[in-house]
Amino acid sequence: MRNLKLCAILALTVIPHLALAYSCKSLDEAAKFLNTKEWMKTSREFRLAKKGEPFIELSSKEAATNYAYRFPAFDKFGFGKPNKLEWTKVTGRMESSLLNGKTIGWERKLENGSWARIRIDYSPEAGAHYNIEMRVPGESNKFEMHKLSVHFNCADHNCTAQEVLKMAEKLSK
Amino acid sequence: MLFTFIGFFFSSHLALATTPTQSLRLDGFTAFQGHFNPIPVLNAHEVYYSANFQSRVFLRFNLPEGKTQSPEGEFLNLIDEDYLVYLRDKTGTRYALIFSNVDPAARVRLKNQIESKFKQAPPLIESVSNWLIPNTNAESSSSSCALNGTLIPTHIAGSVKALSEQEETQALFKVLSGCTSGFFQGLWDASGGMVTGIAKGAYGLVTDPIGSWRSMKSGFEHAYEFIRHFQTSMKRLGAAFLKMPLESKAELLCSFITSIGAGIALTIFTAGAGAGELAAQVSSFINRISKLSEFLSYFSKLGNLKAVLGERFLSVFAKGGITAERLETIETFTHKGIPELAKQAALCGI
Repeated sequence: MRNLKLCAILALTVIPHLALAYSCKSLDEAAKFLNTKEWMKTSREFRLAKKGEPFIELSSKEAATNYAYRFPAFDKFGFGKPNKLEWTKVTGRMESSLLNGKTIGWERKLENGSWARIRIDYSPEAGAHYNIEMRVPGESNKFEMHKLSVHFNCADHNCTAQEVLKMAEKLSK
Repeated sequence: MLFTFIGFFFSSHLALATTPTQSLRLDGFTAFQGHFNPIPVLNAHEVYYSANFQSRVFLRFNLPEGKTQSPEGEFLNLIDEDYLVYLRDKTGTRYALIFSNVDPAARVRLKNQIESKFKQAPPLIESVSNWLIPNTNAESSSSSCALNGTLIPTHIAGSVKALSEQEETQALFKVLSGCTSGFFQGLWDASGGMVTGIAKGAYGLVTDPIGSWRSMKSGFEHAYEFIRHFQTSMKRLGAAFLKMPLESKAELLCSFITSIGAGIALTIFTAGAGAGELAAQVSSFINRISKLSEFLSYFSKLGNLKAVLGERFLSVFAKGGITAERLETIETFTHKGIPELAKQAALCGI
């Protein structure tokens, strides 16, 4: 019984610190991916290792939105920042999703064949996140697909599907 | 008759405007502390300096009795253009004024002004017991950075025009005095050094005024040299940083002084900016600022750094407690136009 109490105290003391350390580390990762070369390198490594896409975790939807919409690689490859004039709306097409039929993001194609997309997404497993995808010239000028997933919370809790839906509805206006 | 009355009316009000513990108002001079509090490192209770720092007036109260090298009321030439005069206040207690590089006419005028003031009322020194009772609370007084609006001259604080280098020096020097007054007090009290220092300093001005003065003068000059060195070091931080509001630079300087520890900070007055450890600390601090120059510039536009980023951040940053990787993260977020995340990274884990 006493050991159990000790374990509980230990867990309550250590876990918040681990969580804090983890979120700080995630910010370091997030900053690293603002360097386009670093992001492409990591994205390539993930793809080759069949590990899916790299992801970061940010503490709030505001932080995630600012990060995703100001992602420097958009400018770097000539897309400019996502905007209503040059980018076209992306609509959710997964029938089982609450986001089906809603505006979930933006995309843009360039004359040289490059393509970029940013969209909000939700799944019970991954929670709320933005997906950043880009098909751009990579090594030896061959087109490569690069991705980044930007996960976020809503006011200190995991976002619900309804909360993500509200964010998408704002995009539809 | 009318003019005499008006003159009397104004002079009465001017006299009343200074409470006994507040420093005197001497035309053309700035008071180091703004009140009569012992400054052990300078062996004085108050120091006044001109805008270019070349002329200074030192006040040292509570001198012991004993034979002096010059009669009371007469100027004693110490070295170069530096003169000492012994006087007595209303209670008959002896004190000394030292005029350093003050022209003869001003010297006499200031001496008369000060003498007349203390003939009417003796100087009230703040916390006189500080000279005698050891303060065991050195750490707590050293950790507080007495930075507030009053440290920066009101005509400079919040000024939107570019400051002259001299104005900036004046303001930063004022910050130094504000940051260090309680700081050194605690250090000397706790170490017991002050108890011996007071006796040595007070007797020294009577028995060996030239030797004492050399030490007092060099203390002041070392402090001035330190501020100039800090300013010169800041110049290599680039235009963005140099345009930063003076208040923010002052906050950084203050955080730095309170972060380096009393022992090294003491060398600001005793050995100057060139002192090995102090010079290394300044260089390292400036290097850290250079890694966050965009971040600090950005947030200094939003208000006091302490209010915007928190005292804890400034303190940890000044002590070098933020890793190089985190500094890079913070600056990258700022540079890429995501300052909210830069702030989050800055406050992360501290």
